[in-house]
Amino acid sequence: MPKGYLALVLHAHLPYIRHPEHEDFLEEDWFFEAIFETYIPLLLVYERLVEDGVDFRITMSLTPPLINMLADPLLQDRALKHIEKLIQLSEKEMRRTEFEQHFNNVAKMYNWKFNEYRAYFLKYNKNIVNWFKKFSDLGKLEIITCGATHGYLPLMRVNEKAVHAQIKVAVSCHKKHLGKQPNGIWLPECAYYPGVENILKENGIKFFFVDSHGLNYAKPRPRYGVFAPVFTRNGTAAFARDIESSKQVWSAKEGYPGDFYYREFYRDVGFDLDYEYIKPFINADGLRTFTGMKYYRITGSSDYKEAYDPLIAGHKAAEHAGNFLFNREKQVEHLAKGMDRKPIIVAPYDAELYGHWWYEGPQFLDFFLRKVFFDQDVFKTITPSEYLKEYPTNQVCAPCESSWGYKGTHEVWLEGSNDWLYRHLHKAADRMCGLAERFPNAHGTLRRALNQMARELLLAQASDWAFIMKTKTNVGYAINETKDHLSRFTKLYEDINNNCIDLPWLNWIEYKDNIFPEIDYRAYL
Amino acid sequence: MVKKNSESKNKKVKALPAKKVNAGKPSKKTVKKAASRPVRKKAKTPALKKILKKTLLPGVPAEIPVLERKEEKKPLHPSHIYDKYDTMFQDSYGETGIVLLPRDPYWLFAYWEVTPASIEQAKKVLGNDFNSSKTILRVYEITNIIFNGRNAHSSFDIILENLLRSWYINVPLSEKNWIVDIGILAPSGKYFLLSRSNAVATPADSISNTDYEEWMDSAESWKMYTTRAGANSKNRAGTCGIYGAEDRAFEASSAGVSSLAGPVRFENKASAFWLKAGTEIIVYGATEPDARVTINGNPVRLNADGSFSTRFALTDGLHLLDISGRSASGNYKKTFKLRVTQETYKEE
Repeated sequence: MPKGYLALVLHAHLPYIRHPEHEDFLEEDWFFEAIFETYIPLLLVYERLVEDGVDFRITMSLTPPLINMLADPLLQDRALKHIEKLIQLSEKEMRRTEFEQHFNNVAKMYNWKFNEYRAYFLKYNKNIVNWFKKFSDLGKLEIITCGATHGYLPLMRVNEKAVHAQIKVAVSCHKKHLGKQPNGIWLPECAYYPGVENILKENGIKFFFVDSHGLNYAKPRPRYGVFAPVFTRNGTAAFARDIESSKQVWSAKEGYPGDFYYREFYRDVGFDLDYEYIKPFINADGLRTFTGMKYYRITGSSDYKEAYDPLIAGHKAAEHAGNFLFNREKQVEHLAKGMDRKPIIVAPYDAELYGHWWYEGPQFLDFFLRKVFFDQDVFKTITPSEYLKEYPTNQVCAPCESSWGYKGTHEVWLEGSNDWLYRHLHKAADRMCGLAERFPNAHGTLRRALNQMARELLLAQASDWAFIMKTKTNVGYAINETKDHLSRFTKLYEDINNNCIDLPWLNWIEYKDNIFPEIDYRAYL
Repeated sequence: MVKKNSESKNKKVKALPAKKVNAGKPSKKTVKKAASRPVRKKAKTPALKKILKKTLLPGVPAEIPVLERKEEKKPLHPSHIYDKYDTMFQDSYGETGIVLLPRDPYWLFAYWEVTPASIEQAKKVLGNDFNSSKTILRVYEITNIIFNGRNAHSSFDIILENLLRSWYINVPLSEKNWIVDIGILAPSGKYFLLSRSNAVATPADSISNTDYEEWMDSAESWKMYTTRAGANSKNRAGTCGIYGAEDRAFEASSAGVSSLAGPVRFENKASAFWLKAGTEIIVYGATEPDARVTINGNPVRLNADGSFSTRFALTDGLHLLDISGRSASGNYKKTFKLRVTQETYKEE
């Protein structure tokens, strides 16, 4: 019998970026990188664990924008093209590095992996949502939802109908693509505000997550801190992030991903090699970009980098998995002493940390889950739904408003660089609700225009834009995206008010911003 | 050869519309006339004339170069005609109002819009006082009360500079409810309210002192669970300190789009001057398109015309390259052996 549980939570999210009007769009690469560096490598880990009869549990949030992109034929074809180009590059690289054995081995590894990823991508008909669904159906993976476009809910609440629509549209998207009601939600940016649980409950969601201080500062003080969920007043459960297990993986200083033998992210052939040679594999406009082929290990904190050795890195991943296991065992043993129930350690991470940033991350998870299954009896992995099934009685507390951003507050998303957004987002939400009320049963073109308004509003609300403005990377793109969506929203609003909808334009914009084909604007009623 | 040429010429000439070339007619004169006249007629448009003069030998038809010119410009996506609609972003909305958002336990954010009409109204009400008055934010603490404008626990004013549209407000206490007015305050104390915000609550900033415990059974609200255990109230035991030694997550916690900001990054301090150099060797050649070529035993992909080109990163030392080709039938074979040496000397 285990003494406690570990809930690994991976939050998989990308903003909805799709530009049919450009053949090659820089920011779309984030999506292709995520597919071939994180999602498929993770799915392959699950695949092999199942093959080997290793029982495991992981919770993953697949956000609605991500699901919509994964299911979009245009992006699927572009993703295929992306991996085929990488295969081509790796073939050229295998030859180019022939005199350098240490690089040649790495090039061969990439070639082998890229070919494998392509094969699996095609096996699932380019739609890997179905691959995720497979593990959900096997009971290994609990897939939860998120805000419809990852909107930052606490800063949206001045019009609660907007929050409501974020949740409602998300749940129907989840049902459409995964075939079932999500039990839980990863609140966008883990941002909780008191009262959001009522909207969750209305939409059939039974649990959510908060950051550590969300429970530690709860009222009354939770008896078991972050190591048992609490119920909010309406019976929706809140799980909280464990600090120790987070730190071991996340922390830039102490975290595993900073090990000197792991792959260096910032040295990429896209920047290192001769321009004419690499040109076909970087951005079509000739801008140097990351290709995904990287030959160096972190080595140290200076510029000096040595060649990456996959074999040594693999050993390191195994060592770190062992260390993570040992620490969790000790943690569970310690916690279980004072509790009348088995403690649950909740360890949430951005999914893209595994594979994209931390190249050996998926391998680490593979080793770790095998060790959990074969090497010890102190704890087991679990999903939140299973835990609540085992412990249906929980303390009632009011969690504290919080997020998992810097300082644990809303500051990242509400500061000098991005606070101008909210005036417009709030106004747009009010206008949307106003029109929904005025036309509760619209048909034909008017209905299409209203639905498109809802899409544009949701897309403008994505917390990613505020985050990008704050981090000062690709700021121009984030500002343009927000303004474009708000402009389109305003045009639709005015066209509807003037009773003259621009149909050819509507056709185009429906095709361009085609997230949630099934949307119903009455979510704003 | 001559025949071929004239044939192709005729073809091209034929392609021009409204042209009659009769190859069968023997007279040289008539052929010339027939060929030249229509061209001139066609060339009436000035653009075509210019191009003809500049780029073409007499008698060579004009179409092909003209087409090529047009193709040089990369066509824009048809949707670009709609780009103009992406500038319909509004800066303000013509309504007076103020909205309040809580940022953290001690900071609120307020944004507002004041229309000229509201200012006019203030002028009327305040009269002569208006000119010496100031725009203020009046911050009320209204925890646990139904606010009517006069019953706040406390309030303070912030004087605003002109043209401001938003402000961060520092509040002295956490876990309180707040409401903010934007108004115009005259030196006489006369106050004109422009707009009142929504009420907000700030969160806690530390562990709660409340240790009253209530437990809830989820069996009813959670239809998916079958086990039912009675709701039980328990006495506190032990100290709360053992669960969670730190009460808040460390600040390095990452958030948001991870693809845009990675958690692991070492600051690379660039030295005063840097120089990088590398060499690559390009091996190229050509053979019969169906031949097989290998370099050091590895097959090389041939282009459709039988040419090939491949490159190697060059390191210091001696490198041997065996380039061999074998004809499709396998009867013929040729091999070149290359010795390439690189030596690098670094001068400091």
